[in-house]
Amino acid sequence: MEQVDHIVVGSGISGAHAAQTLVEAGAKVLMLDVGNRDLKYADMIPDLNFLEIRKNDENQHRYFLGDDFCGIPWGSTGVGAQLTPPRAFISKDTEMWLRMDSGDFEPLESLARGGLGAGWGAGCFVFSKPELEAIGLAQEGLTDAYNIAAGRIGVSGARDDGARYCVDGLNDIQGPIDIDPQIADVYSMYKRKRKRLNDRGFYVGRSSLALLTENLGDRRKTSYTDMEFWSDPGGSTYRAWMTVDALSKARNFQYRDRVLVTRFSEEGGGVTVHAVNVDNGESVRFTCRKLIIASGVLGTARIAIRSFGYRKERLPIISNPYCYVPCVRFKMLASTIPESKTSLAQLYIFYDRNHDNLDVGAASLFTYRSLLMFKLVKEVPLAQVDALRLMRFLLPSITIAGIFHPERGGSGKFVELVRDGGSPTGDRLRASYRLSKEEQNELRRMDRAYIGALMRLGCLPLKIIYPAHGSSIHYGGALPFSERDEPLTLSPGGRMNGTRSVFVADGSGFRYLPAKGITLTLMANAHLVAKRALENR
Amino acid sequence: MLRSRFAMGAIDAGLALVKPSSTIRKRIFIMLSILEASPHHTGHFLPEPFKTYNLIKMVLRMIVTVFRTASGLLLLIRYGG
Repeated sequence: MEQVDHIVVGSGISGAHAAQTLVEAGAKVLMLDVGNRDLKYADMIPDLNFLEIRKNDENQHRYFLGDDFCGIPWGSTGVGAQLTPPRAFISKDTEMWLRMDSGDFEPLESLARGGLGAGWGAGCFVFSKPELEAIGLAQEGLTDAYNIAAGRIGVSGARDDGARYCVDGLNDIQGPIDIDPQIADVYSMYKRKRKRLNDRGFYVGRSSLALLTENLGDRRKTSYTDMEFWSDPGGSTYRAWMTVDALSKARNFQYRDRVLVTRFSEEGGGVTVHAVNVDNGESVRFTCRKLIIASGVLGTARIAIRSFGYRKERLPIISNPYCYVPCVRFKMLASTIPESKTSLAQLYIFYDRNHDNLDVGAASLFTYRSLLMFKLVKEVPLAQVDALRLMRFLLPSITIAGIFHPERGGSGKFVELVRDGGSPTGDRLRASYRLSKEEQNELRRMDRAYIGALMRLGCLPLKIIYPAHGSSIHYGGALPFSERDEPLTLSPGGRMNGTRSVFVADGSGFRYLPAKGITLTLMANAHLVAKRALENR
Repeated sequence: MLRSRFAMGAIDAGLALVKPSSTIRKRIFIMLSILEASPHHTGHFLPEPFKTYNLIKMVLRMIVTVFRTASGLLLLIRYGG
């Protein structure tokens, strides 16, 4: 049995930032992780821009389509559809180790080094006070924590109409990314129609991203290769594994991969962490004074339920509903897609219908090219040869809007851990995700409002695509924050109620998920949870 | 029937409306994606420059598309989907 002061479970966004805070404070930290990596494609992808690769690289079929053709999607749009073959390692081995049973909830989980953050769209959002109250987060020190997190990862953005929904309170941000002519045209149309759109609750701003526009340490500013969905050129887009790599150079940090933590128990003055070696199935144990769990909301729920022995208890779960809408802007037909661009979101449209910065809808606007033409062709109800010709003609005028909705819990949204003799962990998670009629009507109403706003901005929607619940890859609420010391809840400071020395640094406590992405808030919260763990005696 | 270039396009068009996830369409889709991921065919998968000539060509192609789809639907009705 190995013994350390602090154990951090998981190397995703929350685990990496909690560990960084602990290591910087001089604590001795062991990070436990399965740690899958992409060993196949990463070295194969040239550090060139998308068009150069398309025209010259004979090997491109390997990483664009995958050696097993996993990059050729067919059938309905499900979870993980947005993962390209070089990102497929993110969900590797989860079917084996993180068994899930659900007909109406398709979450994406990860056992990768860097967790789900390895495929993060890099959107950075500071939550408003009403949003933080709805989440149940302790707000003390959060503004500073947001700034610390932003300073670590580097955030680019603009102080414009969208700023109060994304970079409000951040002291230092880098300049915004360059935007394509299509998006610039949408933005200028917004400026012309600003008053009318603002009256209806719509505010448009440049995207705030963990994508560098200035060099930061070893990471290079973006060179606009349009390859963000395939690789991490120059480290311009922040990934959690970068923090883990940097921490690995510290003497008080140890990274142990190939272990899956299954449960914990508090004994004496410390915590025993029970894990399984994923290569040989052998049990392994570690002990520590403080345990910080950051396994992702569903992974943390599994560990908590097993540790408390409440196998039949249902835990709440929330995940942002979302849809995406391909739009055409006919006036941009004659434009060209610039050679240098980013694949990431270029503009945000916030829908704050009550003008109170709560229950704000968030849409990201993208232009389409680097995910290849054949994925668009599939969606067109024509012969594929005709669809290809049509899409080649329309592509410069295509804009994709990804619309996220805020989400709260409900009686039809839960997970429970049930026994499964065929599973290597002896159980599987059963999930249900059903929206009430009122929630469904509200979503459709918000979608209609968004469609109206897109049309006012000159974007003609072609289709609305609704992926399965859970595929927004934003999860929360399984161990909700609670002032009462009840099992399977968290104190607002992140300690697991019913324990002395176990903390949760991921989004498990979030009782509400704003539509805006939670990743920057996860980093800020993880930093604070780690600080509280250091202070806790 | 599928060996005929015209029939293949027509059946694909008909299936796009009545059975978009059919095996035939899937096979064409895989062939299309393999072609796209080859540098020798890149030009066929990048946006077409906007010229009046191309616009006219596009309109004519769409007329052909309508006929192709109608023929495909007739073939599917006649020979079964």
